[in-house]
Amino acid sequence: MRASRLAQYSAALVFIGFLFYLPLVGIFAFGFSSEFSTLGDPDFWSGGFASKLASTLWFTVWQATTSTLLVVVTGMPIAYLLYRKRFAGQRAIRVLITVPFILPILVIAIAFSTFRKLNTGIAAVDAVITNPVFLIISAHVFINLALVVRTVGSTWLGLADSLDEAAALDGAGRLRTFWSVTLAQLTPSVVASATLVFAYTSASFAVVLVLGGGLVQSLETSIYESALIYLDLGKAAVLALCQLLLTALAFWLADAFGKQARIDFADSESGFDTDNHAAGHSTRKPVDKRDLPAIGFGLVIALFFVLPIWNVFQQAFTYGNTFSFTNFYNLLSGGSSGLLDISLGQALGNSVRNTIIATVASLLIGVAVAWLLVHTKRGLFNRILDFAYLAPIGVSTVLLGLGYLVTFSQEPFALRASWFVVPLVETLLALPLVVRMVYSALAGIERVLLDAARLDGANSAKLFWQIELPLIRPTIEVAAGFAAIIALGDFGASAFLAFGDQETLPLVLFRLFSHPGASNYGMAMAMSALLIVVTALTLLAVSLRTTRSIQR
Amino acid sequence: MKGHKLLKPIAQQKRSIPKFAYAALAVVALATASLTGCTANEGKTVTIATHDSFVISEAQIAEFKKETGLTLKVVRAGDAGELTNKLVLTKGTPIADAYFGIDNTFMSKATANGVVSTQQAVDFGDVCMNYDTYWFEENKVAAPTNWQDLVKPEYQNLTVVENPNSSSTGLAFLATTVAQLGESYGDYWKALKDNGVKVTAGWEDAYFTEFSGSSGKGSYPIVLSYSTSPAYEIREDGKPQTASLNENCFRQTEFAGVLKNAKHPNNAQKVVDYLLGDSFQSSIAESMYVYPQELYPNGIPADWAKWGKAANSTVGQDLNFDADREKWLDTFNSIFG
Repeated sequence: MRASRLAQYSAALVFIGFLFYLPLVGIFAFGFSSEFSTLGDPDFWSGGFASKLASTLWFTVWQATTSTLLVVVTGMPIAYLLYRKRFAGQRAIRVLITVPFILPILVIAIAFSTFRKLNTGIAAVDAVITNPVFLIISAHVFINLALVVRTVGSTWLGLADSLDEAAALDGAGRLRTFWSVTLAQLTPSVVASATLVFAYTSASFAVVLVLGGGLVQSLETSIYESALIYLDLGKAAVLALCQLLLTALAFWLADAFGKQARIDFADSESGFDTDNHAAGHSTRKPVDKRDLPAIGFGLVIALFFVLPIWNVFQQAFTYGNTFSFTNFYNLLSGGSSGLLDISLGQALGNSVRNTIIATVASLLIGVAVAWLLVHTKRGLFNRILDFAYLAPIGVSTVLLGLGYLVTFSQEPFALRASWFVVPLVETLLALPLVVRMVYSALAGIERVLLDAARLDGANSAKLFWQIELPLIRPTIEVAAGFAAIIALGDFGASAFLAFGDQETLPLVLFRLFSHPGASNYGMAMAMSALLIVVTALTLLAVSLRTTRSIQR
Repeated sequence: MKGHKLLKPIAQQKRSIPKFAYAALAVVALATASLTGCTANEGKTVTIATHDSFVISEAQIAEFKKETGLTLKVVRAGDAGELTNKLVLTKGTPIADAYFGIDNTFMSKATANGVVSTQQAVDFGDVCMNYDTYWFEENKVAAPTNWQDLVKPEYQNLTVVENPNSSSTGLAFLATTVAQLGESYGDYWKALKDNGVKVTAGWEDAYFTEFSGSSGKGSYPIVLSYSTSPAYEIREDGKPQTASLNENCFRQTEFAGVLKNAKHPNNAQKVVDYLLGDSFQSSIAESMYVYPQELYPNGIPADWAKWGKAANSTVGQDLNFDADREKWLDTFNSIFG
């Protein structure tokens, strides 16, 4: 390989190797060898840890599986109603179900924790809705519904009507048509979104931490507990290894099936608003009375959906059992007894700054690496680079945060002490996803286009800026969206690395929420309410803007 | 067309990476390399790492600045245990210059790991059993005089304690039993369990939900709490509803000091001196509900002087928490499942 190419590859590999793999190796090295480890004890495994590990692993897997199944079952009728039928308010509903996907996960966890205070008076119902496992799985469904609905819905929208009509001509009812005809066509997108949901829920941290109440542990929360509460890095390392294997498996599954998944936040790609005028009518028919079961189901889901959000708003506007704006006034101060080290404004500023840096950095690096991967021969170096940047796709935030805490605390690489470490970790968390998406997009560009341009004398810079980049712009926008979501909502890594005046919004929210005191709780609710409103309005604005630009 | 140079597979043609990619990598690399530098206002700020219950008012921060010219920044790092662990994990480049709130149950871990340079006691609190005097009057049962009485049959199903795994109050009481009873502490806990003791995750649940003598109006008239708690249950007749068993309590002492490898150790000492000074010490009781080390028995609210005095006798000062905590917790867990 030429020297310049070798240099490029080396730079990319050193970057990821130092900033990503080194901390990971650091945890394991530290954990398996350090004085903070009980691994040396002869009864490390027999003292209950083996069974605890097994039960934690089991819980992590089955709650992820259950959440995935539930969200798929729930998502199908909703996708049908929102993408195959037409009725007033569809856009608003689509925005509403996407809001939880974009919000910092901690806000969702806080919203669901309000169920613990609910008192229906019926013992059986109360027992269920205050059960931590029920809350955790419900929260997972709540967050990931949009993923399934939008993925399946986009595909469904594009399915030809003719097959359905042919089946109807043969006498098939709606359900029969769905079962025999539509489902087979939807399977790839269902599987793609389901594997992604499984991957996310198996790595769930904030939800289990807040809603589990210490009684229920997933692998992620166990790592957190072992490291920060018991300072047993040996246990943390073993748990981390299991975590790594599980989420790597989950994400590789998602990656294998996920190439067809196109998540569309702005309704721009799915052609939702560009109706087919070929036959003089739109392909989306209005709802009719045969859709009643779907509508009924949809209403139940809508109720379940609105309830946590309603609770948050209700608690936000309540102080001392009466309606009041006190919580919002308190937001401007520093919490009761100066509980917070920084003002909420500063925390928001930190979060926004980190998000912008992480998004921009992961895009720049991700595009560069994807470009390098696409435009070089698929040889050994190419494969190494590919693996190096994609393997971390499932690594948990807790793991990386702990790795940085442990590995980069000593001179000369005292990265941990700088404010930059949190956006850096967030960049690394988003990078594999960005690389994967941009790589697929770049690889999908037809060679003919590029060859024709070369014939006309374009060099690779021109090729990139004038042909490839414009073609992959939609993908870059979606990738940017994902990177921003990951960075803004990050809780696991910040919990280990963001101290004092570098605290981010989710951390401050968590502190307010978990410290006893009516005013702290109220402030957490008020902040959550504000975030929900801002997110919903932003989504709506983006959705409207893209429609207008399409119509122009 | 075949063999034409321009139509060779793209991969084999000469090209260079777009310049912006180099620029991007360079920017990120530079930023990464500059991570170790930059502390703004060297010598003018000082940082203190504390637990979540630390309280300092804006006025006190301003007073400190007036006295020393330094701006104080507070880093809250969880409860005492989490604070200690975070300090241990980051001891090479500590998150602050000074610390407040490592207590006597965690100090051995901190010193064993070489985390602290100095340690001075700044406040203390006594963990003692409290009971509801009204309940015992109404039910015509003689109130307990000592926590060892709680295994007696007349006190069945009356006691609520906190889980030592999750609560420092609970752990304090577990240590008390170890200190007082030696090897047979396990038997005491078994007897407690047989006598129907309730275990909650934290102090708030126990005191504000399960205890009958406080706002939760629960069903348990005996609770593990603090010697100051009765001062907060004063009723209309001017006397408290509850009382504290002040023999053989556990004294939780909190320390403040300078961290090893601190960037500004001299400034850190100034902070510690301020925390031990009269101004801060006289605010400790009301804001953090513990006794000021330097001022006690002065510097406490009037109600405390009457109803919330410190314990008459304490045990457990000589225990080695770092070495034995796991063992005690294992014993507890094996009994309470």
